Order: sequence, then C-alpha cells, then structure tokens
Amino acid sequence: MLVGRKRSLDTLRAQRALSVFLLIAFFILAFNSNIFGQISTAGETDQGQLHGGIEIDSEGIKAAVIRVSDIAQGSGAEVIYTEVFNTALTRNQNGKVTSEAIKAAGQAILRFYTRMRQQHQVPPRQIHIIGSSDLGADNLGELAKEVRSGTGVSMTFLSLESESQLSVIGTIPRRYREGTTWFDNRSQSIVIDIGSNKTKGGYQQLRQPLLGDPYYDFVAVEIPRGTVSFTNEINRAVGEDAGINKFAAGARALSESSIKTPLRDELKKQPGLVYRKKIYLNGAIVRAMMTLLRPEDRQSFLPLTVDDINIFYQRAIYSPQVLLNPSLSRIRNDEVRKEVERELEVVRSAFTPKSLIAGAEILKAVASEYNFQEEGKKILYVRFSNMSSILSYLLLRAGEGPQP
Amino acid sequence: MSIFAFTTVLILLWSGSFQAPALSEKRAVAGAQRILASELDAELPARPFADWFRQLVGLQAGVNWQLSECGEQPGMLVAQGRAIPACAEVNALLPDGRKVVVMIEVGTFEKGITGNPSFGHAAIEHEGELYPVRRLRDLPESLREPAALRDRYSTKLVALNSNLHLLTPGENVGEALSGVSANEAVPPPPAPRPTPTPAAKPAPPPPETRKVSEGVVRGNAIVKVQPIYPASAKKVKAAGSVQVQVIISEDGRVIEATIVSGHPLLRSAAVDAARKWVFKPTMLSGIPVKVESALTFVFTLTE
Repeated sequence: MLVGRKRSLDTLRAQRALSVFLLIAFFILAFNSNIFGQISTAGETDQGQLHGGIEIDSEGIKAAVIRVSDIAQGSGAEVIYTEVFNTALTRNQNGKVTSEAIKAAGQAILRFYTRMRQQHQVPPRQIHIIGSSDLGADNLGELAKEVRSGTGVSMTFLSLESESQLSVIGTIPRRYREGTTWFDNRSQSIVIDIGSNKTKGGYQQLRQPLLGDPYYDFVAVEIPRGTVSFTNEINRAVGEDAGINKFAAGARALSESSIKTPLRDELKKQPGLVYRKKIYLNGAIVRAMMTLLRPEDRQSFLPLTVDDINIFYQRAIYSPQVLLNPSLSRIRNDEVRKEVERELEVVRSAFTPKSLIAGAEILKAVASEYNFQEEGKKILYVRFSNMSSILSYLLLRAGEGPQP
Repeated sequence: MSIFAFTTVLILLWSGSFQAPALSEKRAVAGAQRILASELDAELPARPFADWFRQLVGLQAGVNWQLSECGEQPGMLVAQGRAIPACAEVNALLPDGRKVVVMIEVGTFEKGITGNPSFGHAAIEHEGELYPVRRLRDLPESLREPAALRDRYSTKLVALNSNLHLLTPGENVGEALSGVSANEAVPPPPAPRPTPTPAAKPAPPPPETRKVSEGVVRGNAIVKVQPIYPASAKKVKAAGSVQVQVIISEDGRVIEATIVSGHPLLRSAAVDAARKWVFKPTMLSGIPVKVESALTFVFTLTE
C-alpha cells in the first residue's frame, strides 16, 4: 500500500519546503551530535510540534521524540529524547521470530510508547512505529498485531529502498567545506551498514530516463549476511565448540562464498558505488570496533582507515580479551568516561569474541571488495547513525502537518 | 609460432584471465576534461570542457569529478545482459546553493572507454527542484537567469513518504515487504508545462508515436490498475502473463489497448485494466508526444 498518491500544488509546495527543511535539519544535526541522547523538558511546547518514533530492527528497538517548531519555515527540529533497547529479534531456523521475542519487543515498545505519551506528551497520532527491512522474518504480521494490540498503532514496514533513502538523507551531510569553498557531499558518498542479518548500502544517483525528467535514485545494495547470521553460519560449519582459531579459519574460508561473492554481484549491478570517495560506515560491528579501538575519540564523524579494520581483525583473533577491555586512561573527563563505559558494556553484552571475528571478517571483505584502500578515499564512522532512519522518518511525518 | 599464439589465447580464454580492461576512472575523467567543449556541442567554444565548465560555474564553486553511472536502472540492464553506461560526472556547488551536474558518456563499466566522450545529460538543482538541461549550450543561459528555470520543466525531488510500504495486521507481510521498487512507488512529478521562450528555435514536429520500453512507461505511471482475476479463469486454473500493447495519448491516457499474448481467459481482464492506467505525459524536445509501449500483467493462482 502506498501513500502520497495525490499531488496537488499545495502538496508539492509543502514537499519542496520539506525537502529543503530536511536538508537543513540534517545538516544541523550532522554538526551538532551532542543533541543526541539528551533529554530536555518540553516546557511550553505546543503538543502538535512533538513527534515520536519507535524503530524495530534485528538489533533492538530505538525510540526518539523530536520537537519541530515550524516546518514550513524550516526553522528547526530538536531531538528531545532518544533511547535504545537492545534485544535480539533475529530469525530462527524456520525464518520466524520466536513468539517470546515478539512478546518482549511488544512490551518494550509499549514502554517507549507510554513514556512518549506520559512524559513527553506526544499526541498518540503523532507516534509512529516502523520496522526495518533488516527484520525480514516470515511472521512479521504477528509482530504488527502485538504492537497494535498494545499501542493501537499500525506499524509501517520499510522496504530496502525506503530505508536506503532514509539512511542516505539521515546519515550523509548534504555538503562539506574545504577552505571557503562548499562542495556537494551526497553525490560522492555512500552509506554502508553492517547489520545483524544483512549488510546494506545506499547512495544517491542522478538519473535521466531516455524520455522524461531527471530524478534522484536512491540506490540500495544488500547482501543477506550480517554479523549474527555470519557467526551462525560459521558455527554451523566448524561446530559450536570450535576454538577461536578454528572459528577464525572457518570465517576466512566462508568469506569468499558468503560475503565477497555476493558483494561482487551487487557491484556488477551498481558499479558506480565503488567510485564514491566517501564511505559512511555504520552498524553495530562498526560501533563496536570504534568503541574498542578508539574509545576516547568522540567526534560525530570519526575517520577511520583500512589499517583500523585490520588491527581490529587481528586483535579479535589473537587477543579478544584485551580488545574487549580497552584502556580508558586517556579519557580525563569523568562524564565522557562514564559514557564510554556504558558504550563498552553494550558492546560486551552484544558481542562474543567469535561474533567480533565474524564481523571483522565482513568488514575486511567489504573494505577489499569496495576498494576502501584506494588513494583519496575517506571512511567515516557516524556516531549517531543508528538513529538516522527513525529521525529522517519523523521529520518526514512532521512535514506532513497535523496527523488526521 | 602461430599455433603457439593460438594455443596461448585459448588457454587465456579458458582460464578466464583474458578479461576486458577495467574502466580506469583517472583516464575516463581526464578524457572528459580534455575534450573540446565544441565536440560535445557544436555551438560551444573549442576549448577543453573542464576549462569551459570551470569558467561557467566560477572559481568559488566547489567542483568535483568522478566516474559515475549514467544510464537508468543499471540493475535492469544487467538482468537484460546489457552493458552499463559509464559517465564522467562533474558536479559543482555554487555559492548561491545551486548545484550543477553534467554527465559525459565515456564508455561502459564492462568494456571500458569506448569512442570519444559525448554529452550525456545535465541538470540543475535549485531550491529542492531538479531542472533538466537538454543541451550543453543551454547551461550558461540557465545559470545566468535562475528565474528562467522556473519556466522550464522541473522535477520535484523525490518525496520520501511515497516510497514507504504500510502494513496493517492481516495484510500479506511478504508482499508488503517485497513491495515495488522505489521508482515504481514514487508518484511521478507533475506534468511538465511547456512554455516556449521567444528566443527558442521552433522545434521540429515530433514523430507521430514514439516507442518506449515497458520499464520506462511503468516508471511514468500515475495510476496503476491491477486486473481482476476472472472467476472463469480461476476455475480452470488459467495463469501466466498477458502482454497488452498500449498507445498512450499526449495527455497520458491509454487510447488503445490490444492483446499481444496471453491466455484467452485472462485477456479481457488485462485489457480492461490497461485501459485504466494513466501516465505522466511523455515529452520530446519539450512537446508532449504519443507513446506506444506494452504492459505485462502476471496472473498467479494462490491457494
């Protein structure tokens, strides 16, 4: 089912305003990452300005509330609440999410929903619940039913293409500056997201049909392997009881058929992606890598290199315990240290040494197949990227005006 | 000696190591930068395109060159076994916020650089709208007079909401998730408004009807109506695809729908559905034209 079929002149004007607003809003968000994770009081806010969103993907559930002051004027959006609940919504061998996992997700969603209603006073019609394309299970109808019975909200499931679009707009700043000159950023960038079950990519490409008008295509690239599914695959191949070295050898052996070949196949269909010079790298394994290797670096956009990936890979195999317990001695600020400790806890609870190796193998494969080492390429970890889809979605919904 | 050479070639071919040269970005971009602007458009000066472009956008603009896809939907081309066209793309961000993109065709990603670079397409992005630049010679004027852009054809930037698949309990999840591609799902932009400028040369009359591929015409659909599965066909388990040839009027309506192939019991349903489709008018040199294409409907029996 699709929305937005009618396009009156007013709608078009509103959409133009929204497009401009989205670009400005994300540009602001991109350079003010410290607004993420903060909670501020709504104060005298008009409730109509508040929009809440809950996103479910295979790694967990994310919630956000934004306050939009005047979208038509593009005067700004403020993130007033974000929260993440880590839960595994991965599929079982039958391709289904277990009923226990669905129940747990339903309860967490209801908690977020209630908080949005009671603490942040978000009108119920302005709370949206979306499901990531990453979920991909056969019984998502049961999840939708559970969510609806608890909250009364009908879920929206994103297609890969929709998600790519939300991710590109939400992650890649529109432009960047060198000296006094501004350059377009999106036309030379790609997003790559290594999730639990899938590795996804996306980029914006101007296209001109043979007849008709030009348009921006949000190209989506996907391979059906992520950190968790690849870990499971290796475990099946080498046995659950295999030691680290045997597991690592299994990962290396499977990388060609399970990761590299599908990546190459995607590249054949979308050859332009390998020529993009900026790579925005996201996903839990990337977050884990940067938290473990460089916990003291707190920039919103953290540059990394292929060497970082190789070091991460080596440490995951040869000294996983050292890797999982990095020194925080260079962090002087107590607040920052506490934040890093929280992040480290999340990493330790989400990853085992084996899943770190599996994730590192995927990272290595992506880096080699998509020529990350090529001169002039810049790789960036985006700290707030896990919230990019839900925030893009909320801004979009906010731009549609008061909900019916 | 010749037997040796022949054998070597055979071995190379067999081993798969005799591959087409990879497309070098450096060479492709350098070729596009060096080619004379006059070779891309006869009305432009005989000076390297990169110099001409830089002067046009000004020294304050942020200019970036890269190798890029220039065809439509490369995934579709691959499925059809066709090569994917490669372009040297130059994009410039002007100090006033406008963005200019010019695509110079240089070859294909599979075969590498082929022939001389040629003008592919260009567009100006201004205040959230995309304006096509049909000829390279039109670019200077389009940039000098931004207001003139509004009188030309514009394409709204893709609206996010039109791509989203909504799921309500009870709906077929698999169907909703597999969905349609982003481009199919996006309602097409409003019909272009032809507004001839006084200075413009009169365009030659367009041919009576243009043939357009099904992929393109589907991308231009505003209203898509799915056929109703006839009960009589279901009874005998008739299934499969039915192809309908359609002629689309200048204003985007289906004025003729005739069967090309398909099960006899499914044909009338397919024709009825095809007649209800509405398309964005197809423009040729700024003039709406009649289009001939095909629509294929697939009838699948479900339990």
